[in-house]
Amino acid sequence: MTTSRTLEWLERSGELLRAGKIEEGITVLEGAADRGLVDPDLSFNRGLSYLKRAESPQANPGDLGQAVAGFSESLALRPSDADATRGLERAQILLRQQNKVEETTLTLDDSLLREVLRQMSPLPLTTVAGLGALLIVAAWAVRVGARDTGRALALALIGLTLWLGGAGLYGARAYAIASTHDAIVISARAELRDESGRPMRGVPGLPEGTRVRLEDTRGRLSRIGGDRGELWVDAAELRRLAHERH
Amino acid sequence: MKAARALLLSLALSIGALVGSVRAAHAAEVETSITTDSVSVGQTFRVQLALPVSDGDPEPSAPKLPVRGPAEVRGPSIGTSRSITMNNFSFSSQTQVTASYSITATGPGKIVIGPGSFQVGSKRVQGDVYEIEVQDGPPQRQGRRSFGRDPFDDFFRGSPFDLLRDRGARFELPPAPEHLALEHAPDPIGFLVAHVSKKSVVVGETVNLTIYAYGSRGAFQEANPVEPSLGDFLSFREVQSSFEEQRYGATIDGHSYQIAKLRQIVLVPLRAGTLEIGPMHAILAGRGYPAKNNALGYPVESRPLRLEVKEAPKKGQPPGFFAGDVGQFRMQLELTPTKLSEGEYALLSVRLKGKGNLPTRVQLPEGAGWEWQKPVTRGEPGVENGELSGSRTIEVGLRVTQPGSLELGDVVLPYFDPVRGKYEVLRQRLPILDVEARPAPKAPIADPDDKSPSALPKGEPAPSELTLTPRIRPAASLDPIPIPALAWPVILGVPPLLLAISAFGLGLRRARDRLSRDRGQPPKPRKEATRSLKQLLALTGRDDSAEIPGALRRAIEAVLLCRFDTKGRGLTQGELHKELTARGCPEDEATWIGELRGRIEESAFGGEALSMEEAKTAARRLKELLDSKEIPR
Repeated sequence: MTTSRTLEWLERSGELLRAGKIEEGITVLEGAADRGLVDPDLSFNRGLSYLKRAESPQANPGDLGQAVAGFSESLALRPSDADATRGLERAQILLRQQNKVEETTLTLDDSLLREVLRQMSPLPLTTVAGLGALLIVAAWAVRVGARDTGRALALALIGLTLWLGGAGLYGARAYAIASTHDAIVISARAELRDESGRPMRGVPGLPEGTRVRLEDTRGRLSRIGGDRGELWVDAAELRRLAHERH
Repeated sequence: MKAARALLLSLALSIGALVGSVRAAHAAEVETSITTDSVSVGQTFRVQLALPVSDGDPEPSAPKLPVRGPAEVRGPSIGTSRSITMNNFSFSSQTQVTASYSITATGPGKIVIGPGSFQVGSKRVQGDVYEIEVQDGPPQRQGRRSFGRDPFDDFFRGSPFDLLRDRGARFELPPAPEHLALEHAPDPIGFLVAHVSKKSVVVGETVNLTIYAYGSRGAFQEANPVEPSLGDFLSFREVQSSFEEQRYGATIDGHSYQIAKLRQIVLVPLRAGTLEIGPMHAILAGRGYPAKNNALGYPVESRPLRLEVKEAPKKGQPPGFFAGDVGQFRMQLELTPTKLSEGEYALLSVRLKGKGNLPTRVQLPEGAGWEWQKPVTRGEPGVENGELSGSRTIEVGLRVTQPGSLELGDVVLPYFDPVRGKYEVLRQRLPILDVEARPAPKAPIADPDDKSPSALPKGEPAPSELTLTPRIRPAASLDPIPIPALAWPVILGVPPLLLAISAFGLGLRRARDRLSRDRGQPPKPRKEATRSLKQLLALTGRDDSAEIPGALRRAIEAVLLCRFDTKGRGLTQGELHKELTARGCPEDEATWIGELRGRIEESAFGGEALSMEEAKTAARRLKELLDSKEIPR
């Protein structure tokens, strides 16, 4: 839910960006992020401001990675945002141009179930659980009022199934979202390191814009998940994505 | 003895660093090099552990090499070598720590070597384990190979000091080429001589720097080298040490000298002026080389050199020439795709091949309708036979911003050819791009008050140029249907609450019943009558004809007990009528109850079964009787 504080930051940043003041807009949006404001529109504006700067002569290294992070965060918070999807695609195209269609060699070792849970819409789950709760109430009323144990039992069984199913899936979805910490590589290439922080030789780093899953952070190093075992990256080369709060 | 051991260790380190290893393995980053697969008893071989580290990383220390089997181990000799490379105006440096051991097989069998390890910070980094077969019999002597020889084979056979002493006598060195045979020796024991291939060049033109070591006391190896300072140059190394290099013999001032090439570096001057190539320092380590200010051997250094570097000539300089693009080059282009839609990207790949300082940029045609992205370069030249050559690819994205047939023009690369002494211009035409127009989006209804997120403010580019606009208000229409804050507490709370209420009610009733039973109190008549009637009604609702007679009988007894304080059990129909009327029951009700009981008995003993209608009527009348206020209690 957008708070009045968020609205204020959104309006300030939006007006600066519309006036072409990209640097000031970025400063405002980063200030909002530093204050812990999580909002899909703020994230969208941040992605867009970095994308605009990346396409301007004032481009800084890492702008495209920051743009990918902003749009990805916006989509994580509001998956139906078509503009954020287009912005993300645009930033990724530019990155591919820059890196010559270089795809990351790191595969997120993620289960299908977790991804399905993360993508689920909460409304159907709430509806199912609510219907289950209603049937349980109805069963109780039948049992107490009409003393019809048979009907009450049937209603209770159906209601309990729906209630447990809906609430269980909703809880699993909340856990999947809360326990997943994604980040985007915002440097030209994030060097892969071992636990002591030494660069791994002969191992290509992660190109800008790569999405990684954070598993641990110790000091200046972040451990990332993937199919290549335990890998560490300098935390300063990553931007952590905010996610939906429950 | 100490000096001899130091000399041995130093030589071992130096040789070990460059020896062509029979086996090498990368395991946990410690590289283990062993000079042989199998040895004979009494034969000595070398094992080197090497661990490269970058600047800022903890330096490896405390090397360990476990050796099991019939072997005698000497060492380690620890050394550090550092290399700094300047390439494309950026420095990179690497340090390699090596620990060298010499191992002598003392009997037949198998020697297990490793895992070699270094302490790095708080961690121990290990290499792999190797096995060496030791054959019984005398050591095999190997003839000298002109290429790929293993200096350890010679060096550590028997006593290394014997070898150093004998080496000069055993090998006949080929005579030095004329340019290496000096008229006078600057030092009677040893010295270094540095040459450059040209004395005067233009910025970007390659120059060969070669440094030779001369030693008059027999075989020597270089130790503790300090590279010449090359701050004003790009440097590309072809020879990085003397260990694999051909040795020559020459007589200078009546002394026999061994000559070895220490370095061969291709330099690319970065600026004009008189540029200095700093001296190189090294130690000549060998049996005959006295320790002078250094325990390892005889220190030597080359003289600094000066190189005159000029700007490329102004005369005939083509426009767009970039200082430093000097050499002989060829260019190939590839632009894909050539058919695309407005706003899409194509990729131009420019491949440059040739000799010299490969350019890092080309001139791209500018014009309306397209935008070039930042170029990215790939590939570096390499050194071969003293020449800098290779290929480099420059890739740059091209975004088309207007539809139609776009004639982009030429990609141009001007460069200076130092061999011909004149400028050349490579020019290649780019293919014509066929750009389709992007379908125009539906025009929004003009609304001056529109402040929706997608509304375009004045002065914004056309939608085809910029389709994303910053948001000043939340795009709430994109938000999913909100779930009320209380929804989940209610959903999750209600069923357990009902369960708790039911459990509480059930428990309370059971407790009360138990209490009543304990006190010997019968159930309250009114409640019992109500409950019986409800049961009867429930059975009639379910059309359960089997249970109905029993339930009806219980309901009659409960109602009679409640209203007239008699159950009427054991009484005939007439006695019951009399009893009920005596207790205030209306005449017609008493008659009906009697008949109803008779009907129930009849149905129970094979008569016509009670119909559902009869049961319902009976239940209704019994309820009326129970609730009647006219009948005294």
